[in-house]
Amino acid sequence: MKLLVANNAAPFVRGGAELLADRLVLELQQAGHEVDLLRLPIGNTPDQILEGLVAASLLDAVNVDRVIGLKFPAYLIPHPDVVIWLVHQFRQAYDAPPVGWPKDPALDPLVSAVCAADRKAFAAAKRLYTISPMVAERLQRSNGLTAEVLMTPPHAEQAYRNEEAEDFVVALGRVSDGKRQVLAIQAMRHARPGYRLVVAGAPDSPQMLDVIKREIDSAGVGDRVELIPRFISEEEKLDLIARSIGSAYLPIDEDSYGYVVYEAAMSGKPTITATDSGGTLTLVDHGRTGLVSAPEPEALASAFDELALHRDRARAMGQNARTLALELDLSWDRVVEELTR
Amino acid sequence: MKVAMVMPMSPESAIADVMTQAVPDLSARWDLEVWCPTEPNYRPCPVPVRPYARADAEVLEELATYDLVVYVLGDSPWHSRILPLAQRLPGLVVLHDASLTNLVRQTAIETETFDDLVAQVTEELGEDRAEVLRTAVAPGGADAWLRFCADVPLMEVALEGSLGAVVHSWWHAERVDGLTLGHVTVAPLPVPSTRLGFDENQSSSAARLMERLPQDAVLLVTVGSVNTNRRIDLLLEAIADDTTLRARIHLWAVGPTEAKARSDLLSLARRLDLQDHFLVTGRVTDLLLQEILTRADIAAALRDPVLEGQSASVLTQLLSDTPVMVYNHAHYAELPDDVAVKVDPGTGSEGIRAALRRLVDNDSERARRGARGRDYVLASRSGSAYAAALISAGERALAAKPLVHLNTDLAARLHRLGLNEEQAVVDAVTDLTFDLFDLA
Repeated sequence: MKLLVANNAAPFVRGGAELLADRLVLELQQAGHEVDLLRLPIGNTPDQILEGLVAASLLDAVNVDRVIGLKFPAYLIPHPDVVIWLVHQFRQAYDAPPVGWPKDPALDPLVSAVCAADRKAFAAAKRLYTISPMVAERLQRSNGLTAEVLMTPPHAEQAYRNEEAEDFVVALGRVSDGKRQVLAIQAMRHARPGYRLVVAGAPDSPQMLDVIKREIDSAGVGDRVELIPRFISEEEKLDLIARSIGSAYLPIDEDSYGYVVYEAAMSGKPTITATDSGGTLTLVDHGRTGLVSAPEPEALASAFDELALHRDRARAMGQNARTLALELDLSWDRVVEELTR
Repeated sequence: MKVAMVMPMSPESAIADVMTQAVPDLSARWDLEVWCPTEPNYRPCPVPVRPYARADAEVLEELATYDLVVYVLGDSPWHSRILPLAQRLPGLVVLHDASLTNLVRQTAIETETFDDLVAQVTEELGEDRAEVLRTAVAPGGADAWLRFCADVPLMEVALEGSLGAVVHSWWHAERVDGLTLGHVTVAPLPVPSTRLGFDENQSSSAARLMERLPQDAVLLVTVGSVNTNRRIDLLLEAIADDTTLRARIHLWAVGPTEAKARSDLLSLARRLDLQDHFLVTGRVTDLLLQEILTRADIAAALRDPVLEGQSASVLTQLLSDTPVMVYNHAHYAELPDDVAVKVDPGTGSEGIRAALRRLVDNDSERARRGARGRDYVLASRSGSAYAAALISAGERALAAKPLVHLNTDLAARLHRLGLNEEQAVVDAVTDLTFDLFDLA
């Protein structure tokens, strides 16, 4: 088949969705399909977003057998054969503030247009998948539609390994407001002695890095928090996970199960996540594969302590996490089969 | 170029009269055929005339074979079998009236789309106006209905998707700006001919009118349907308020009159003790109209609200050497200042009184303005000049044809995602289209 994978494009932002799209293209090509990736720009302002919607709506996808749409507005591209693998909707139009936009005469027409276009596009799609149960649940809630969950496999095959835990909990991922590394640092003020927190990942901005540094200073945990504020290689990442007691991953309302959680699980390590972290709960079953804590420093500190001070229990949770991750059968073969059938 | 002009061809249609004046010149440039709704009789025409009974798919199919279709519309039932064609097959629309409310309403009823029309007006203008449209009754009577027609002209119904519009004043052009895909052309409306086909209805009593008029009377006339928007009531009040005017002026309202309007005006004249100086002639023959205009000293055209795109009757009056008094608004304001005496509509009967005194007291002023008016009409109005403007508009309409395809395509794409009803999206697409195709 001639397949057009359609994703959006926020200039100079490269995150999970971009990695997902790249890997999908690769997997589809390896399965014998002709594949092109089309990225439609989506701006930041309401006007730019509206223009993105218009551009997608007016586009002609010629010489294409099927469009595989991933994100708004790319899945609006007109074509008789569209399969949507929904990474997430344009949540500003659906969710309550602060993720969603507040009622505003300047924004309401755009919200109305987004919802109208989504309704038609979802209804016209040949099949509708989501990348996680969380996204499926949101779709059900906002649009009354049932989608099949087709969870995203990891972007790359990794040589996951498990080593004897050293004395740190690791917090991986882009350092940002949304990932709440700050919360993990605040928790360390309340944590019992005997272990550290390693925060590793590229900060979203210099301002974010300043925020993190100030938090470490003001919490007085400079001797217990190690900050590696840069992009870390896959090898470094796997090494940190392998040697950790467990992983702390505290995003707000994550769409997917979270690669960071998956990587920890595949390495036989438990994950501490928050009750409001969304999709991470797919792999973090409280007390079995990790711990789910209230998003508050004291509660998180208790969770850290439980893993750090009960290593056998942490080890068992890590093994359970790996078993669960394998049971999910996150294979690209299945994704390719579903998206091309 | 093969062109179909769809227009009424009734001998009594004034619009048919002015349009046929352009036909000889149009047929010299276009391979022209006139299509018209069937009538008992048709006016003579130098090109083939193809009457049709219904505005149906068969007619549309045949019209679609022409390079260009010109639709001639006015706010009367003569056009109710033309409007549905204009709505379905894009063409050049010649608009004689600045309000099509009556036509659109009537056509919607005949084509069983009235509920849709009312729903559209409800959505765009609110329930109160939709109710007036639905019942054709405006709180306040006939005058209020005329104002409603001015406020809710429904011209977009005729112009949506069209290739261009021809109007007869800059004022009207401004009112239709943005409603058509193509260009808006202002064409010089010719003066109606002296034969409008009313001879069959000649009233013998009307023929004796002239004999009863005192020789030294100053004859003031209004010409055309005696509606409340001719402000004949204000003319009467102005005359009654001035001893000189009361003594010298005889006011004749010349034209078709409904009984209620006639009765109201005669009552008012009696109250003002002007009954011997006021006459409602009813419909007159072409010949008698000419005689009246020849005798008339002053003509008044105080239309408010203004519902027509140009005043054919004022042109007729000007051609007859008669000085004309108009309100200084709408297309009347476009008449040269040395031709028409313009009255500020906000000044009421006092402004009218002052203008009348100026004309009554000064014979040479009347003569000068009368002569200037005739020169103006002779210089600017003719079937040939009108045809030249129509030909130019036709060329622009052909150039706008690709926009119809663009419009259809964009509409289909937006409709696919239900975005055709999302104003923010429609506005954004419109802005982009204007930028891309330099339409601003």
